Amino acid sequence: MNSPNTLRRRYSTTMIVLTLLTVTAMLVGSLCGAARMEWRQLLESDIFWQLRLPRELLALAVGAALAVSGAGYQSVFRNPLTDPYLLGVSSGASLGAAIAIIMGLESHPYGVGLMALATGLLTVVVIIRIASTGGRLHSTTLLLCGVCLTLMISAIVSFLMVMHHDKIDRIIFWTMGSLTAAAWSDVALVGSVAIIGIAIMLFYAKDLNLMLTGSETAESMGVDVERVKRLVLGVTTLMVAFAVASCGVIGFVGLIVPHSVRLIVGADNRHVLPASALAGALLLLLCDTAARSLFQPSELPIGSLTALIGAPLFIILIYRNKKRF
Amino acid sequence: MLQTLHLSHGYDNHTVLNDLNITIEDGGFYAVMGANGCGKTTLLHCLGGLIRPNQGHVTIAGTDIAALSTRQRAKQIALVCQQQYDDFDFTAYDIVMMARNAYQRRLSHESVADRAIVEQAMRDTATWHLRDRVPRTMSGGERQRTMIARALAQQTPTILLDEPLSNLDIAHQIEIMELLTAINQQEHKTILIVLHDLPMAYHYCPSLLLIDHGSADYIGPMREGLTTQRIERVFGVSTTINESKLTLTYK
Repeated sequence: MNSPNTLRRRYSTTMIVLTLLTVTAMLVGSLCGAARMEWRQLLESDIFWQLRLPRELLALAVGAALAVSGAGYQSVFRNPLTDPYLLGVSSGASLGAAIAIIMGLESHPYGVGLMALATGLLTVVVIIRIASTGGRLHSTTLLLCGVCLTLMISAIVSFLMVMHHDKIDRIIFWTMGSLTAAAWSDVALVGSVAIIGIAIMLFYAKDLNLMLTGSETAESMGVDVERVKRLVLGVTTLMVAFAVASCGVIGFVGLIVPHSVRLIVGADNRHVLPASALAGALLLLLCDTAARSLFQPSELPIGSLTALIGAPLFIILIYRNKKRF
Repeated sequence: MLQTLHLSHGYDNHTVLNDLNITIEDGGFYAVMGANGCGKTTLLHCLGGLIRPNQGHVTIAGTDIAALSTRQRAKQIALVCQQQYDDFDFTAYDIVMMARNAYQRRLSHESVADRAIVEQAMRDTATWHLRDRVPRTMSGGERQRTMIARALAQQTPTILLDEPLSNLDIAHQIEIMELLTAINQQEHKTILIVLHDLPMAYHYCPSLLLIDHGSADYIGPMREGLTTQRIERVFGVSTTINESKLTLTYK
């Protein structure tokens, strides 16, 4: 098996490789797109400064935020199959975003984000009420609960769409996920929420490790479990809400990224969280570059691309864990 | 010295612990016994400060446990719970190192001293060779010894264990009891262990805390307390006791 030193070395290597890959992906991604240009032309064009660069940066921020949120939910609920999308938190947040658009709150810089946060948090509270026993989410109840909430919320969103024809395009955008509308203001907002959120999560990484061994055990080893749980759920949901508000529902990032990362660096959240942030950023950047350049001039919804990668992987995970359900 | 004063606790309308007044002597090795649902686990959680009781107090050396911070409490009492969870693969070494949490600053990594303490705890429990393994791949006995190593690394004067023998075969049960006896005698730690096995408790534990319907039926020396009449009344089974051979058998 793996000794602590091997794992630490692997963690450093992983971080270096991920950083190099992300930089490369950004460089290559900047050249991809409908308008083909040389580097010198590109650096002088608005296409780079106003479209491609903010879009790439938003992809990085959203990817990092979703991946770290996934790892956070997994630690708090002690269930490795948890993800903001499967829990229904992402759809919950999308409902808030839809309501905000209908109420005309889009002009306010935080309007959509805060409404998404409110409904996202409400979803988390509902999940805890329904599905957790002794602070732990059982896989079966978790999945049923998430599916039901998602179905219910998409029904409500459909109602809202029918009743508000004029805003239908904007609302569809939230349900499918897209980075098309990325602007510098989004980058600033989501970027700062992601950086602050991830920093707070790192601060509590050790507590999350202890909580994975059971809340009573963690409490007996000096973790204020209730406080950490509330704080982490609040911060993760905040990150999910602002990610959803900026680019809609993008599923499975929070599931596949921490899972793959754990296979390489082990279970220690002090390594899993930073590596997930980088890997999530890279994954979403790659997916978005593929989404906008594979079938030009049409663009694939990025949410369906991540689902196409994530859902089969999720099924493999369930298959491998069948005994433990 | 661990004490409870008029300790009462319940869930909804159901009383679990009812006006419990007990004193746990320093350096004692207590078997906590009683029928299912009599309040043993709730008592352990109250003593460990995990539950704030509805009424009454738990004190450590005269200080109310509710007045201690979570970290301060973690330096006084270690707890080995029943539940074990293996979906996340921490190595045995990582798990034992977690016990050092209360002594570490939040963002700092483990110190040389932490590492020495963890190694010593794992050597004392014969788990050092398992350090790179994950609990999922261990036998029940190895897993339980790892949990005891963790409690040792927490360096508390008191260790509480909730049914550590369940799911173990008899050889491993004896191994764990021998280990706890050694910890109690050599390191003078106070040990409270929830047990169901009367003969095992009678043989190994010098003291008994017998809980019946949420009240302390008896606390004191095992030999004087565990009589055939009392066992008959609390558990409803007949036994014979051979005091000279330290054995208790079911009729």
